[in-house]
Amino acid sequence: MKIIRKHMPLALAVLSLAFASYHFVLTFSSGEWRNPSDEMVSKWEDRLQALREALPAGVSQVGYVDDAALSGDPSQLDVNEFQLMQYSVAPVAIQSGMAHEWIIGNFRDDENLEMWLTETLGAHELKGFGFGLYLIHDVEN
Amino acid sequence: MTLLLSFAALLPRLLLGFCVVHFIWNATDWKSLLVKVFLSAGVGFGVSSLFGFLWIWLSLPLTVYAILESVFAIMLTGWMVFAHRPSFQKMTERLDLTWVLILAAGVFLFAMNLAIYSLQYPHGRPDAWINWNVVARFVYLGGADWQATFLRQFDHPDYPFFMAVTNAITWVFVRAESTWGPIAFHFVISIFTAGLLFALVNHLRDFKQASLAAILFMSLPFIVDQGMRQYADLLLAYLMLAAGGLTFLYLQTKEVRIAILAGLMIGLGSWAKNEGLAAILGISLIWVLTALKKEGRLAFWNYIFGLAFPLLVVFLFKLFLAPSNDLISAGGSSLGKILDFGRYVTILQKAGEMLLNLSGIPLPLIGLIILIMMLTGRSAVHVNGMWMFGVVIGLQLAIYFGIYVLTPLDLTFHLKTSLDRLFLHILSMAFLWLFSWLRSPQELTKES
Repeated sequence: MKIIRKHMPLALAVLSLAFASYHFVLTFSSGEWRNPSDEMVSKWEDRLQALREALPAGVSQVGYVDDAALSGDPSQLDVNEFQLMQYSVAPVAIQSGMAHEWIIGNFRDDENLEMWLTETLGAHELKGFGFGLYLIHDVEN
Repeated sequence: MTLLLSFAALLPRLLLGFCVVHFIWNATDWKSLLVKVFLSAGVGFGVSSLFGFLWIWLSLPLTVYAILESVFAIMLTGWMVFAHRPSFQKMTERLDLTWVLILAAGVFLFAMNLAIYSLQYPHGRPDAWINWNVVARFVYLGGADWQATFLRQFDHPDYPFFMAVTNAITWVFVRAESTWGPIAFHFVISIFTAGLLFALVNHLRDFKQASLAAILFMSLPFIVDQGMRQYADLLLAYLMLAAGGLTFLYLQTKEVRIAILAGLMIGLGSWAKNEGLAAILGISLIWVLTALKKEGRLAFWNYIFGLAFPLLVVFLFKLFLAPSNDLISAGGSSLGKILDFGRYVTILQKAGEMLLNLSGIPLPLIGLIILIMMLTGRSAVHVNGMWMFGVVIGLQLAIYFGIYVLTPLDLTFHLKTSLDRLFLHILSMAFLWLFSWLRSPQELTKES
């Protein structure tokens, strides 16, 4: 028993190093660290680059619509993508809805977008950036 | 290059932190020096972020502040080194080479695990871009319009600005909102948390015991994950460890100026995360109890002095800028929740499950700790004030328990998404208590 007690701290230290080594080998061998640019948020940021640059200077707040607005069901708002969008377009604050002159659109299904915008906003300008991303200018606002 | 610049940008604030710590607590023995070195991150980044926040609130440009602060930090360091060089006592203790090598290996593996995590998740994990780094972008990129951050929806715009201002200042020097900025900050905080734990145990016990505490702490995948996911939780754990450790040191040494640092650190905890406000209650209770004795009153007022400035800034921030917190502003029947004992059972059950699976290692950490305590036993070295950990940790957990009972969110969802991080807040302090209590390797060797 005395021998166990005497060597317990060293054994614990060695065990800890073994845990740390195992953790490192596991993560290293998974290979996910090799391409940081393939990480989800990095890819999202790359996609948003053009839209971010297109936002007019001096605008501090814009609207935001996604498929929830097209379907008329607010509960369908994709909060995760809303939060990612906010991160990417900061320091511009985004607000769900179309109450602002400039509106960011983020759609998976944009087939009827133009028609919906004409019905909802009236006169507007629309610029697409691929991946369902749009910058909408409500010219009547 | 951006990576190197990001780390280099932190250096002036680390120097500033050390100068402030040494000015307040001018002990020159090497054990105290080590504690002071690892306190410098919290003090340097914290004081910098307080003044930086006040600066931008006055609508002054952050770039000017960052440059002035760095120039001041370098001049202050130069003055301290050349004009008033402190004569630190040489280390006379002989260190066991085996333990030095084990510690070095532990630090190396910890750094490698932190680094590989940051490569895997350069933007951190969800709350990093939802609640923390997004604010830094508003501060750095927003200029005079940085307050648009309070218009954000579906997150927590009431969160305090410790990390936001710190990362924004780094970006001033890097000249871009690079992911390396927050990565460098969280890497340093992770290392300094382990380092502070080591330094405190080393001060209170000995080198081998300190090495063991640090190695076990650094080996936990949970710590690596929480450190580099770029949330504020490990930062708060570090600041609570600092405040608790300094309070504990005061109870040993009766050095009254340590109390100023304890107050400053726990005040900065509330500037780091809202849960830091709860931690102020626990730490303050200890200082109130010390003030019951006449000889403790000067230290108590020193603690209040240290706490005053960060708490004032937090108060002004909450009063004039921050929207209401979602947990407080939501309606609903509190009495109904208090009388719903099913909620108590759910919280305790989930807490128990979380405690068993907390560490990320193949063994339950709590089981491992109990086994070590049974086999190794209590140290014969008497350390004053061990009771304070029970008070601080107990009160913090009790407050968290109350928050869960009253939460307006779905209880299971709230527990699932936050319980592990709340345990993290008290984990480093629990380690300090454990390794102050346990028989050290040195004692065990002498016994045989």
